[in-house]
Parts: sequence; C-alpha cells; structure tokens
Amino acid sequence: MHSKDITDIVGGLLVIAVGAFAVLHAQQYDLGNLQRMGPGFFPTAIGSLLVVLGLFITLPALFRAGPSIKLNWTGGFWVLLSIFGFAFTLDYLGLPISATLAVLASTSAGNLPWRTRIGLGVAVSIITYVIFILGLGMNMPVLPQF
Amino acid sequence: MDAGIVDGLLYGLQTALTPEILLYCFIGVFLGTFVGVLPGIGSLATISLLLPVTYHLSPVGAIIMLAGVFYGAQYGGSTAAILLNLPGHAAAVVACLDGNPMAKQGKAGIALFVTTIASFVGSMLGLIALTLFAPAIAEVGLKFGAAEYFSIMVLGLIAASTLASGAPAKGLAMVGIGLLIGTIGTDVNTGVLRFDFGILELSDGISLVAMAMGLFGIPEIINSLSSMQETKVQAKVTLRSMIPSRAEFKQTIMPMLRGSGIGGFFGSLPGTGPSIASFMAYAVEKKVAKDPTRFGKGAIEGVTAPESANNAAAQTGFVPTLSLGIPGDAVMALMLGALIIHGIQPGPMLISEQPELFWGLIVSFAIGNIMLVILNIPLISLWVAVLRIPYRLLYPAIIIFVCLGTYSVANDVFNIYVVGFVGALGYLLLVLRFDAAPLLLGFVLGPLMEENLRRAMLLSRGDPMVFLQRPISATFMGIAALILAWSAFMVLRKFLQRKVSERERAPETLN
Repeated sequence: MHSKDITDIVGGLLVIAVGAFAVLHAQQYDLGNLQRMGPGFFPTAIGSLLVVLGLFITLPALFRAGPSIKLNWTGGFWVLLSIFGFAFTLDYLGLPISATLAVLASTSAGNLPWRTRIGLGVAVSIITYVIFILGLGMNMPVLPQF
Repeated sequence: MDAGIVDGLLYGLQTALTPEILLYCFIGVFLGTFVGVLPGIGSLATISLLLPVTYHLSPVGAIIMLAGVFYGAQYGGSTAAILLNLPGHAAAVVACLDGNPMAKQGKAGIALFVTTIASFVGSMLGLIALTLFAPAIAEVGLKFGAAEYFSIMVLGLIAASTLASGAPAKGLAMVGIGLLIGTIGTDVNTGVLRFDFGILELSDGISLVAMAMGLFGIPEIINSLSSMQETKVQAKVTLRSMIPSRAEFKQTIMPMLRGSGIGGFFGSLPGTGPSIASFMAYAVEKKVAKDPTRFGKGAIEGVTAPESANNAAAQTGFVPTLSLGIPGDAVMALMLGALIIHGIQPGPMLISEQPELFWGLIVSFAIGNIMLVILNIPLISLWVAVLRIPYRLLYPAIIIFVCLGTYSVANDVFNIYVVGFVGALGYLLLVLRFDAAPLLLGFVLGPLMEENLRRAMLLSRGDPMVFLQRPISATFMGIAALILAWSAFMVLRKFLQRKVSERERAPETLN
C-alpha cells in the first residue's frame, strides 16, 4: 500500500497525455465550425474532454492510499516477443518455423521442459496448418524464402 | 401484430432450417460452450477471432455463428465454475458461489444438470422477450433523426462506462480513448486522413479484430501467466448422478422464472449484460429466500437463478442492437461490426429491410439453445475432459491463433504488429485497473457518433441546443445526465465514507 494511489495517478496522467496529444495533433486538420465540422473538430473535442477526465482521475488519487502497480514483466516480454517475432518471421520463414519459434518464445515465461516446448511448437504448427491453410484456404508462406 | 410475428417466425424457420445455417449454428454453439468452459479465453476473444472467418459466409450465417458463440459460452462458463471454482468468464463467477460447494458435497452432477435447464429456460424466455419487443422498439426507432441517434449513443456509452465497474471517470476516459482511436483513418465526410502518421496500412483505420484481440485476449494471457495453478477437477460426473430429486427440482422453478425476468430486463439495457444480470439475480434470491444462510454453501437457488438470468440477458442483449443499432456492450459492438463488414446497415430499418436476418436469427437462437441442452447434458464428460488440459499448454497455441486470426483479415503481417501493440496497451490498462470494454464500445461507435453529430449540427445550422429541443433526444440526454449525476453522487459518498472511517481509526493510532 502507498500513501498515494499510484495506479490512478499514472492512469490519470496517461489519459491527460493521450488527450493532449490528440488535441495538439488535430490542429493540423481543419476544425471547421459548429455547423460544418471539420476533421479536426471531433478529435479536439474528445481530446479536451480526456484532459479534463484525466484531471478527475489524477487529482483525487493524490489524496488517497492505493495498492502498488503489479506488472508481469517477464510474462509480458515473452508474450509480446512471441507476437512481434511471429509477425516478423512469418513472411520469411513460413508458418511452421515461425509458429514453433513463437511457441518457444511464449513458453519461456514458464518452466516447461525443452522437449515439451518443441513438441508443443510442432503440434501447434500442424494444427494451425490444418485449420488455416487446408481448412480455411488461407494464403500464407509455408516454406522459408530468402 | 400477432399475425406479423407468426409470419415472421415461419419465414425464420425457412431461413434457419437449411443444412448450411444449421451447421453454422452448431459450430457457433459448440465453440461457444468450449470457450465458455475454458478459462482464459472468452466469447469476446473467440468472436473477434471468428470475424475474419465469417467474411466468407452469408450475413445471416455469420451472425448466427457468432451469436451462437456468445450465448453458448453462457452455458459453458458455469461448468468450470462448478467443477473447478474457476469461472470461465465474468458472468459465471456467481456460479462458483453455490455451485462449487454443491460439487464438493458430491452434487456436481445435479448442479450441472440444473444449470443447463436453468440456462435453457432463461434463454427461451429471453428469446420470447426479444421477439416481442425488438420489432416494437424498431418502430419507435424509425422516427429517430440524427440528433436522436447521437443522444442515444451518448446515453449508451455513458451507461456502459459508469455502471459497469470501477470509477466512472476512468470508464468515461476509456470511452474517450476508444472514440479517438476510432478516428484513425480516412474521415468519411471529408476524405482527410487522420492520425495515420504516414503509415499506409492505417488509412482504413485499425481493424476491429486486432482491437478486440489486443484489448481482451492478450492481456488476459499475460495476466494468467503470473498465477498459473494446477487445478483438480472436483468429482466424477455420470449421467445417472445428474438427475435431481423432485423436491430439489421444485425449489428451482421460481428462481428460474425470477432469474429470467431479471436477466431479460438487464440484458436489454445498454451498459448491463449477463454479468450484472447474474449478480442481481443472486442478490434477489438471497433476499427472497426463507433461509438466506444456505447461500454460499450449496443452495440450489443460488445456482439456478443466476444461470437463467445470464442466459436471458444474453438473448435480450440483442434487442438494442437489432432494433436500433445501438450496442449494449463490447460483444454487441463486435456483432455490430460484423454486420457493418457484411454491408448491412444496422438501425431500425434492419428488421423491416432484412427480415430473413432478424427472424432467421430468432429461430436459430431457439434451435441453438436446444442444441446446447443436448451438448451440455449427455456430452458433459467431454467438457470435463477439456478442463483437464493444463493452461500452460493452451496459451501458446491461443497466441498463435490470435496472430493468424488477425493476419487473415488482410493477409498482411501489419495486423499482427497491431495486435502486439494494442495488446501491450491493453495489458497496461489492465494493470492500471482500467476496464477495456468501454474502450471497444467507443471505438465501434465513434465513427457513427461523429457522423450523426455532424449531421445533427448541419441540420440545426450549428445550434447545439437541438439535442435538448427535440423531445426524444432530450429524454436520452436527460437520462444520461441523471446517470452521470448518480455516479458522481456514489463517488462522493464513497469518499465521505472513507473520510469518516479514517477519522474513527485515528484516535487508536494516536494511542
């Protein structure tokens, strides 16, 4: 427990940041007027509202206690690496290899033995091949191409 | 009116009884139960995964399958809750309270049987409500102009973000961010590219599938990684052990009816869905019971009423979506998205312009629920076996499925990057205790809201008072304002209560 609600302080600041960014970025688009709203009107309006809401979130949080922020850094890292890695390798290495690598990446977050992980990767490759390429007829590289 | 309904139902039978549609219905409810049983992946994630698959289907088939996943999951969610004390999703949490104790007392079979029957009764009653009310509401909706649409969307979004969970300011902020993300891409009215940062693939905006998966699927997986436990299934379940005694069965009838009523009502409101319905039904049962102390220890009413409620709510949840084109929650937002992708314009004209869609849906809901009863009673051992698969083997496969699902939208790895990015954002939101559902709602409704706002302003020549001058619009705005005021009041009350309890504790610390 902290004397200030960090969760909401950080959350509120994030909201303010998004809102401010939206308002600033939207200035490059034509705002128009109330009768004929330009592309920039809606984002500016919503962005401003967000800044106000963010203040509503952050300010009260400064005066009350709250739990600490719990982030699963290792889990998040491996899962995201698995996703981004899969996206990066799919076109170059084909589905089976990319899928196996991605499974190896995401299972690094746990403590499965190597053999199980590789086996799981192969199993997932086969299952996804059958479902997506054979069953749904999707077009996707299967073999590595350099 | 009556002739219209009978006609409609006959028409729906024609549509729904084709082998193709029956197959999609079956796939939907089967997948729905499967996913409802499995903890860690819910109907929301599955529906978004199936969206690209449904591109190749007819609109009727697509919605029937997706809807099947939705209400099928309501059947399956309670199975894991009863057997493992692990709810498949939010609405099933209540089933743990009395369902798991029943399982521990050796009454798992009875609990599973009774919840399936309760789910069926709830669904059917909800379906009747849907059939009666949706066309009537659509009639009213035909009188809506741009101002009314805008106001009802505002009402829906405010209701969804403040009534659900957590602080209202956070819920509203989520809606706001969702609205902003919805503006990414080409502005329909002016053709201007907004917030694209020079990335070509963003000119059509962010794909709905990627948003849904990134906001709900990925963070759930990352979160579950930190608390993976080995779970033991409670009891052996045989067909014979499932039939309850006559006395027990009698105890369930009123809870089922009450639960269906509560669920039917709450399901049709925007912002409330099966979860809230099941909690309310449980609370009502406890209040109405002759011996409330039995609750939490295996009271059969505590298990049947919420089940009827969440299934009824799942059916009536379609009322605002089909009759007015306003989604009540994230899943309905996805359904709406699916309709739009198939080129169907949601709104009050839907029922009259696409009768085979509406009536076909109604009839297939009925068929689907019958399929579900068959799936859930004799096939219960199948689901028990599914529950034995360890989660740590499942989630890597789920991740790949998510990636391939979003890839299939445009055959482009760009969408996989988007899922990763949105997933990181979604996890951050989860950690910071933001509810992502209002964000998805805002994202789906954003473009529609903006268009209606612009049109309303154009028609009123720039006069914002138009929203209060037109009576229907003013009513919606008024209700929205009331909800905001009520939420603000609740926040203030909580603040004052905390101050009071702090002051009461202070003298002790001084000593």
